[in-house]
Amino acid sequence: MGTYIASVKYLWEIIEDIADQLIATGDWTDADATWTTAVKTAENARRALVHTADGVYLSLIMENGAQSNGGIYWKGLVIIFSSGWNAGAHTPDGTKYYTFVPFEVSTVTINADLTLFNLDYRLFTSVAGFALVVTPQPNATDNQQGSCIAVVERNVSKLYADAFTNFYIFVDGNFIRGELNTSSTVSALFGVNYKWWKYSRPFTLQSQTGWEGTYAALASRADGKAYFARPILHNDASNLSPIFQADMFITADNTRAINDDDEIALPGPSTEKYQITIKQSPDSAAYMQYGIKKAE
Amino acid sequence: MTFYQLTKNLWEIIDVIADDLIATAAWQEGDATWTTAVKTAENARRVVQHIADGTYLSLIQCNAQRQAGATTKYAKGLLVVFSDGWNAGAHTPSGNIYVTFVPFECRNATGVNADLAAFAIPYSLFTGSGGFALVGIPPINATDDYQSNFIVIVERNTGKLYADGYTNFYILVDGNYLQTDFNTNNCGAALFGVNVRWYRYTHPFYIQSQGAGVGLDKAYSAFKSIGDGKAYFMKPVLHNEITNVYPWLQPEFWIAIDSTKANLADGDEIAMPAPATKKYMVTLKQSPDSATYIYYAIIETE
Repeated sequence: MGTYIASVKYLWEIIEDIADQLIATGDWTDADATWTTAVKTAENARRALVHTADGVYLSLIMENGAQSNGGIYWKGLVIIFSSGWNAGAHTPDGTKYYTFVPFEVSTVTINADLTLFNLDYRLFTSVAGFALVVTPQPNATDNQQGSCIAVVERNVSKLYADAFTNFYIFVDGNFIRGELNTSSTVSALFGVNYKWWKYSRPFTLQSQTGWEGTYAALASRADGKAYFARPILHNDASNLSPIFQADMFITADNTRAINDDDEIALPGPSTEKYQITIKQSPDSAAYMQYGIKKAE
Repeated sequence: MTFYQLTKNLWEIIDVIADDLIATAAWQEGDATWTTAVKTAENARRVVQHIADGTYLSLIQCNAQRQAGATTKYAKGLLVVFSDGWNAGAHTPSGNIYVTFVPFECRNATGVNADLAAFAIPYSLFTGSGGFALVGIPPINATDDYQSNFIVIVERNTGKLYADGYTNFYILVDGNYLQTDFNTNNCGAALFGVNVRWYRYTHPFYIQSQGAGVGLDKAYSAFKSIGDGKAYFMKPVLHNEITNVYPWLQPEFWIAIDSTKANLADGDEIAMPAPATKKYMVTLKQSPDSATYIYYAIIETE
């Protein structure tokens, strides 16, 4: 089950697709009808969902304004996970975890207008959440464009009971500047100045660590099969408290015979598949090396 | 299968391994003239043959120092020889012969002082029908200044990922202070026509490699969760070549311990969830001349 698509769209369209597809699973509902993508300026194109069983809120917001961290300017997707919702103010409420997906980045003010800015993307959605990979189209002015991966997964296969949600959020890219994490945004959003966090574990941890790629996928030259171990996610930044293994994404190693677009099909009777996505970006030859879920 | 934690001379350990393997009935005596009666030079030795596979495992106490090429490094230790034939007339390995050296009693000058004839080594040893796993620490010798602990695994593993045309065996040799000189140079005279070096990883009769991650991936090394107190690890992955793109099998006789998390202690026991009965014994060891640790666990019960 689940829906996989590889296509080209604007970010606000992708946000719509994610929100609509999550609602269509029956596990999520629209959290606030005033949150739409009708207006594309600043942070106005947005959707909010609530996970019905867990009562937690997922906000997806297109940052199309003048935002920066530590002198590095960016536009992209803001992800907010919150334990509540202020129906009067129409804003996330309670405990709030922010992170963002900074694919359009520059050392000066961003040139691209995300209203009409195509992204090559791959997207998987299911009841468990979504896995998204984006590569921005080249923009001659924005000089630090990066490919990014964003995963929001609800995983109930915990190794032990803890007091936290079943969710994690993972955001990485081939060219994400360290300043985006070491400095907070110059402009607040719903009263919060925030950073890029690679790994979020609502509501106990936001960190650049706390996750391990374990054994990155390779393609055996002997039998042509792929071998990998699923990433291990922890409840602490020192990687000492494994809580579950990621299901929506895996890591890949392109030095070991595995390539972009390869498809990994797990042995039957499993129907699971992963889409390998090894991407450079307009401004970096570095590779982002992951696989995202393609079929459950 | 048997697990020991004792102190014995190397030639005695060789006898225990050989006798235990034969007792499993998967192995038999390879040559009755190979005994440990004489402890000098390389005369204390045993050879066993794996009956189903027809391959020979020779274990030889090297009690005459071998020099690492023209370097100043000299060593005594254990010689592990794997061969696909046996010359019954000459009483020597024949056919394809792979040798690896375990140079644990080392000195940065000629004249290795210890006499392995009477040199009791604290050790942990597992023996089973598939082979053995051995960890040893030489006793302190004031003259020999490069003493290293050592781990030696000889495992027959039939869980191959694909048919490869080679044996079901691999050999792993490591230590906390093994000098690379013993790999980059031939160590003394050839043995049965084969140059003697320390190889970390051997897959008879296809590959011998030395680098820390060459031909083998430790994958996800074990540590203890502070969440539930359990150990988590992934078994290592062994390859059929040195660029690690030909995964061949995962060993059963050893796992790697995470040296950065370091919250498993020497002597900790890792028991696999029931119904499995398998246990691993964590072995984090220093040696007389180095405070560096080896980070392994060897099988304790199958």
